[in-house]
Amino acid sequence: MSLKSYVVTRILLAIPMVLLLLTFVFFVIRVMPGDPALLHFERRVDPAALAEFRRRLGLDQPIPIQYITYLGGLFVGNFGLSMQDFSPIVDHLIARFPATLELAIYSMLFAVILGIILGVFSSKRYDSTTDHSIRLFGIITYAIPVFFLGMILQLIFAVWLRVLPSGTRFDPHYVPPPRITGLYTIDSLLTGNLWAFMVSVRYLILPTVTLGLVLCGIFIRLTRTNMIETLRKDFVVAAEARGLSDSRITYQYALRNAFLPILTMIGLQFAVLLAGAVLTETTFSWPGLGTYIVDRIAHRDYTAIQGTVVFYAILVAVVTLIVDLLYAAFDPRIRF
Amino acid sequence: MPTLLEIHNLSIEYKTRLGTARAVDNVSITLDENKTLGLAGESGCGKSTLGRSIIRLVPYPGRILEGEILLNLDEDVPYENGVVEKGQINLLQLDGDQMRALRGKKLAYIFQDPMTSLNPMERIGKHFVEIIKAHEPDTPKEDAQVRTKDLLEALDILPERVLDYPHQFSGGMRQRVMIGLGLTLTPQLLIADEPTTSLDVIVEAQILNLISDLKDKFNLTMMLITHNLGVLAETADSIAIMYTGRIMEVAPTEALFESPQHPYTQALLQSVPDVRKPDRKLSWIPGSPPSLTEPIPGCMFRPRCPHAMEICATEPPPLMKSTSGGIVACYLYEGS
Amino acid sequence: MMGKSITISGVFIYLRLVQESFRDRSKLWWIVLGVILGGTIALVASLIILAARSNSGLGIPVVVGTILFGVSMLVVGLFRTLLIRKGTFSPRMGTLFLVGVTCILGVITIPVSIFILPAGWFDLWTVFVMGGVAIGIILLFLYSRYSWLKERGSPGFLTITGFLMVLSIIYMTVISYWIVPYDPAAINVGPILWPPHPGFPLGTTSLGQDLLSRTIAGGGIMLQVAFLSVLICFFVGVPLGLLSSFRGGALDRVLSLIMDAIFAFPGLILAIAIAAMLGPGVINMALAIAVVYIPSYFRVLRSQVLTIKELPYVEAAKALGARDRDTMLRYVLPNSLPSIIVVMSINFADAVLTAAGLTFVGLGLPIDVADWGWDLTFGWHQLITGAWWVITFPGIMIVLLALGFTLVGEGLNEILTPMLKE
Repeated sequence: MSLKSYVVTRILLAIPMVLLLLTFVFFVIRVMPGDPALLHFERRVDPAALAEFRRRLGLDQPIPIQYITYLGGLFVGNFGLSMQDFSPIVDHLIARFPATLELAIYSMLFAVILGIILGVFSSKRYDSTTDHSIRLFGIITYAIPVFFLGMILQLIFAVWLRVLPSGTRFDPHYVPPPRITGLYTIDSLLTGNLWAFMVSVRYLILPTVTLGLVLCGIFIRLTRTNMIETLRKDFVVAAEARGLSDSRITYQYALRNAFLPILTMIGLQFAVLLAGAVLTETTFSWPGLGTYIVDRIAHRDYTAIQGTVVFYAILVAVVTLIVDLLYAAFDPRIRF
Repeated sequence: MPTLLEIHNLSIEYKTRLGTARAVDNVSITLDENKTLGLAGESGCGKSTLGRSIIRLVPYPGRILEGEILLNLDEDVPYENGVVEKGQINLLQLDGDQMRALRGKKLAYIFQDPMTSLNPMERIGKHFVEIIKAHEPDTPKEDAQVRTKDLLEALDILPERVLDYPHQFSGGMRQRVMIGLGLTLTPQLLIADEPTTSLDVIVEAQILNLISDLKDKFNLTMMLITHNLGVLAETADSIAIMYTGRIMEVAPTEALFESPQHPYTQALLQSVPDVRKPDRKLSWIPGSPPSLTEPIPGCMFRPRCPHAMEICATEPPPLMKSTSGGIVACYLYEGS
Repeated sequence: MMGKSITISGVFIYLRLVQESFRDRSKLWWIVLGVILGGTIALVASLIILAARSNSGLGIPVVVGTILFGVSMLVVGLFRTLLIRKGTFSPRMGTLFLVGVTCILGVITIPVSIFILPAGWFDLWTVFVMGGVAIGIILLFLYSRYSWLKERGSPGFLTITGFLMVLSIIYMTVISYWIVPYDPAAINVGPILWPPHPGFPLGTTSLGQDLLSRTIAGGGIMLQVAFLSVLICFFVGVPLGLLSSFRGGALDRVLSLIMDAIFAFPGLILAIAIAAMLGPGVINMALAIAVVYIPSYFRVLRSQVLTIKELPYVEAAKALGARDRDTMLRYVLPNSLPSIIVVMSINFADAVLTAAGLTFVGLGLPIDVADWGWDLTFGWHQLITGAWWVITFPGIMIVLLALGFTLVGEGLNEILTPMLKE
C-alpha cells in the first residue's frame, strides 16, 4: 500500500466519525424536548420576533432541509450563526482555536514526558517502594478533578506566592505578539520578541502543569506496564547477554519497543485532553474553545454549542489521523 | 587439558508465592577447553537456569544462593573503571560493570527462540555494530561495518542484508544471526540454550553443522543445553544429565550412550527411539518429578526409580566415580 | 503459618501475613496498620462528637442505630461462615441467609423509627437501613475472609481500601442530614467567608453557610448521578454489545461505528452538549454521562465475546447443539463479566468526575442543594481573596470518592484480568 492511499483510507475512515457526531448533536438539539429557539429566550417573547429569530437562523425550515443546509455549509467552512448576535460561529472558533491548541500541545508534551520518565523509573525498580509510590501518584492524579487541581495551583502560585500569573493568555497591559500561527510562544519567537515569549510562557505554566499532571497518570501506567513487559522479552535478555550497557537496553531496546502503544495512547488521550482543557480553560479564564462553549451554555446559544462540538469532532479526527501516520512512520514493520 | 570453567556447589532458588523452589541444587561441574559439554534433562530440571547463572542473568525471582563459578580468563578485559585481570576469576564475585564487560566479549549465550531474540526496531547490521562498540568503543564505525559483513558472509547471509529488519528474516536465518552475534568478539565460552528447538528438522541440522564448524574455526568451548539427546550424540564430547536441579550423571558421550549408569539416564535413553534398533520397545518413566517447592528427602528420583533402596530416602546420593569413566549420583555404585 | 490455623481472618491479620512474607517491608506495613487504626479511631470519635451536636438532635440515635444494624450484620455474617464450614448451609444458602436476616433487621427498624420520629419515620427508616447496610458491609469487609481478594497481595489490598473509602463516603452521605451541625443549604448561619475556627471547624462560605455541613452532605447528588449513570450504561451497553457481536453483520458494523465515534470524542464535551439540552436534574445528568460511557461497555464486551466465541469449549457446546441464547448466557456472559466489572468501577470514578465537571461549568442542580461541585464553583469565584477552605474540603471529598472507585478498579483489574503474569 502506498503512503498516499494509506492517508486517503485513513481520511475516509475518519469522515463517518465526524458525520455521526454531527448528526447526533444536530438531532439531539432539535428533537429533544423543547424548541431551541424557545429555550434560548427562557421566557415568553413576541411571536413576531421569535419568527424573525427562527428565520435568520434557518430554524423555520423542515429538519431534513436544515440538516442538508448545515452539512453543505460545513464543507465551505460555515458552522452556522450564533443565536446571540447572528455572528458566524466559525469566526469565534478560529479566533479561539490557537489558545486551545497551544495549551493542548504543551500539556500533552508535559504529560507524555513526565509519564514516560516516571514510568521508566518505576519499571526499572519493579515492585519496590519507589515503584509503588509512583503508581499511587498516577492513580491519585487520575482521581483529581482537573479544575480542583487548577484552583489549588492557582491559589498557591498566583494568590499566595504571586510567582506566576493566571487569568488570561497574556499580560493585559500589553499587546500580545502579532498573529502568525496564533500560538503566542511561537509567534513571539518568530518576531524575535523574547520578552513576549517569556510572558506567554509564564502565563502558560499553570494551565499546562494542571492539565499535564491530570493526564500523566495514564502515561505512567502505560509506560510502566509496557516497559515491564518488554524488559522481560527475549531480545532484551539477549541484549543483556551480549553485554550492552544499561542505558542502551533501557532506551534503545525496551523504551523504543514500548513506545508504540504509548503513541497509540497519545492519539486516544487527545480527546481526554480536550475534555480536560474545557475545565482547565474555565478555571484559568484561558480564552480558548473550552471557555467559548461554557460561555455559550450560559447564554443558551444552542447553535454555537452545536458548532463547537462539530469543530471538536473534526479536531479529534485530524489528530487521530496524524497519530496513525506517525505510528506507521515509527514502526519498521509497517511499510508502504 | 586445561579447564576453562569450573562450577562448585552452585545453588539457585526461585522465590514464588507457592514457596521457594530450588532450581539448581548444589551443582558442581567442570568444562575443559575446546570441548563441548552437553547439558540434558527434561523441562524444568534447571538446566537453563544453570546456563543463565554463568552469565549471571538468572530470570527475575531467581537468586544465586551459594557456590563458585570459576572462569579461566585468557586475557585482561577492560571495563569502565578498570580491568578484569586474566587468570582464574570467580564470576559470582564480579560487580555489574565487570560482568557486563565479560558478557558478549568472553561469554556468549544463544537463546532458544530466534524469532523473539532480536530487537524488532533495529536493523540487523546495527546489532553487530552495537556489540562491537559496546566492548571496543574505540573501533571506528566503518571497521565495525566491515567486520559485520565478513561475519555475515561466514554465516551464509548476504552482506547487503545488514540494512534489513529482523522481521524480514526467517527463523533459521535469525538463529544464524544470533550465533554470529555471539561469535562477533570471539568469546571463550559459548552457551547455547536449546538453539534448535524452535526450528524445523532441516534447519536444525544446518544450524548444528554451522555450530560445529564455527567451534573448530574459533577454537570455542561450548555448553549445549538441550532436552534432545540425539542432538548431543552428534555434537557433545561429554554429557551431564540433570534432574530436579541436581546432576545425576556426567560421562563422555560414547560411554553415556553405551553404558548409562544412573537409573534415570537408563530410563531416559529407553524413551528415545533408536534407528539402529527398530525392534526395541520404547518405554516411558512412570510418575512425574517431585515439586521443587516441596522437595523430598534423599534422592529426588527415588519415587520413580525401579532400584530404590532404603538409603535413597534418607540422604541425597553424592557424586561418585562410575565404571564408565564418568561420575554418577546413585547408591547403586557405592564402593565399586 | 498463621493463615493455616486461623480460619476467620480479617484485613489486619492479612496485613501481618504479608509482612511475614516480605520481611524487609515490615516497618512500612506497621506504619500502614497504625495509620488505618488511628484513622478509624479518629473517624469514629469525630462521628460521635458530630452526632452529639447535630442540628437535627437525632444524631446519636441515628449513628448508634446504624452501627447496631451493622454489627448485627457482622454477627450474622460470622454465623454464616460457621454454618457453611459445618456443612449446614451451602455457600449460596449462606448468602440467602445473610440477605434474609438483613431484611428482617430492616423490618424490625420500622417500629423503632416510628417510635423515635413518628412524623418523618420513613426518612429515618431508610437512613437506618441504608446506613446500617453500609456499616455492615464495611465491618464484614474488615473482619471476614475474602479469599479471592486476600490471595492476590497488593491488588487485593488496593481493592479493599477502595471499597472501604467508597462505603464510608456512602455512609456519611446517607446519615448526613441527621448529623450535620447546621442545615447545609441554609445561608447566613454564620459569618461570611470565615476561615476555619472552633465554631465552624471548616469555615464558612461566601453566603455564610457552614462548610462542615456542606462537606458532609455534599456527596448525595454526585453519588446518585454516578450510580444511576452506571446502571444505565450497564443495562444499555451490555445487551447492545452482546447482540451486536453475536449477530454480526450490518447491525454490528453500524453499532460499532457509532460507538467508536462516541468513544473517540471528548467525553465531557459531549456530556456538556447533551446536559445543556436536557437541562438540570439528576436523571438528565446521569443520562448525559451514560451516553458518553456506554461505548466503553460495548467495546469491552464485544472484544470479549469475539474472543470467547472462538474458544474450544464454546465451539464444543455449539457442536453439541446448544442454541445461541444458551451459549450467550451460559458461556459468554459469565466469562466476560470480570472485564465488565472492572469497566464499571472505573466508570464510577469517571462518572463522579464528569458530574463534578458538569456542575462546575454550570450544568448542575439548583444551588439550594448542597453539592461539592457547587462549592468548588463558588470557591473559585472567591479564590482571589485566598479563601482556600471553600475549595479545599469539598475538593478533597471528590478526590477521595473518585480515588476510592479508581482503587477498586485498579485492584480488580489486576485480580480479575491478570495482564502481567507472575
